Amino acid sequence: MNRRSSFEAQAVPHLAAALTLAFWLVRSRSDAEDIVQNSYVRAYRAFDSFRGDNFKAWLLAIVRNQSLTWLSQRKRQSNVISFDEAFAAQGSSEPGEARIASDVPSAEDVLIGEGERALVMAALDQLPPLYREVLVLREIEDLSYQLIASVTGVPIGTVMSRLARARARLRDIVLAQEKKEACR
Amino acid sequence: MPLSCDAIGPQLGAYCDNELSGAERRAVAEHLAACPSCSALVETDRRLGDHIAGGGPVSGAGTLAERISLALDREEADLGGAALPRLPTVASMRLGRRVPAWAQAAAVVLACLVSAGASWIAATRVETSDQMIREVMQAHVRALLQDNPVQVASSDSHTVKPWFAGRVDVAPDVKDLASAGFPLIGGRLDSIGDKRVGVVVYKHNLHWLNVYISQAGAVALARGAPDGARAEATQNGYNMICWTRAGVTYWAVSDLNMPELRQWQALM
Repeated sequence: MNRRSSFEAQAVPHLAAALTLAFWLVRSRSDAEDIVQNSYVRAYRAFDSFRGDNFKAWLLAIVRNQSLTWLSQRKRQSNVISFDEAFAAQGSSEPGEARIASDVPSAEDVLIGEGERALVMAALDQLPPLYREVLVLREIEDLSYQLIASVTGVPIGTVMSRLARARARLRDIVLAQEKKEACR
Repeated sequence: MPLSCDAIGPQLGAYCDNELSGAERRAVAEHLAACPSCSALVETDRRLGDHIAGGGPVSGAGTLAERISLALDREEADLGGAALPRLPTVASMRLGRRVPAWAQAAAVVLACLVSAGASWIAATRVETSDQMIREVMQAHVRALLQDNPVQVASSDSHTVKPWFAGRVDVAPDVKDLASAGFPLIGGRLDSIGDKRVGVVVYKHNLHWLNVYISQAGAVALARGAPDGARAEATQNGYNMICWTRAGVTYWAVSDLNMPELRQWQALM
């Protein structure tokens, strides 16, 4: 097998995971696709230097770093107000605009009968990126703490505490929203 | 000696994720058996986690696989120096361009290689042009969301056209068609499918008209399209006309109706 097909045979099965991680970090489908494409090209360039035992974790680490770089670059362009940030304060925005901004249903949409799942996705959208990523890696990709640690480059203990805080925040947001809904 | 809820809190998740062992695991299990409120927390977190697992995955990575495959083709061409034969795109075949025998042979070889590892390419290749149309349409919608649609504002084509020099690798046709009701507003840069493209902006009454401009061959639909090739598309209420002239591909997108858009294009 040549280098290219060996890379594709290993990398392509993780495409959905890569896209999901990038999407939940940058919260825009088209930007996430660009980031994943760049990450795959980078991974291909560096393929020969891959010596680890888990290709998926190595690949996702590249996607993750590219996504965070993208987020920080966007933050630095101070004269450009991003839609996500502009509408980050939930409730202060027009629901329609918030939806366009983040590709994710706003809390208001969600309450019109889509149930708890949509509420959870909207809550996930409100969490800081470092919380979003551990939840995505754990709940969607079903990675062990060990692998999450190697994707995010932090010790296992940090993965554990970060995940606990992320879950607590998510739980608080969802339960508060459900309570608010029940009172209406 | 049972632990308090506060002490056990950080470990609840790790317990559910099967990441605890031995004494820690037993301590949490004991606590949960005796503590209804922590059990309820665990239950809630498990439910929310299931929701994330069910609602979080992003679907439709197939078209992205196609894009990445093309990007890797380019990467190999850049690295290898040797010209890597490209697979003929569906668009180029539909436009009737003859595919040389060596490319056909290469296509067969490549197709075998690729199908060995992944059958996804076969499933997605025909979507190439749809993907590009979608991307240009999305760029148009993105542009509409911005306060200022242009980086250089001028109704003078001799100001707008030179502005693109050095910013994009083509010199696009820019005409002020104010007399026909399509005043030139200006130009800006955007990015489509990983390529920097120029955008010429016109208006017709209250309708914006964005014309995306790239080197013919830089984008999938246009690759191999001969001069004079022309295509139309409609998506989400937006209309698009795409054509190639003098090695430049133009993608005009607007919420104008198709006859008006054709009328404008005829003037170009």
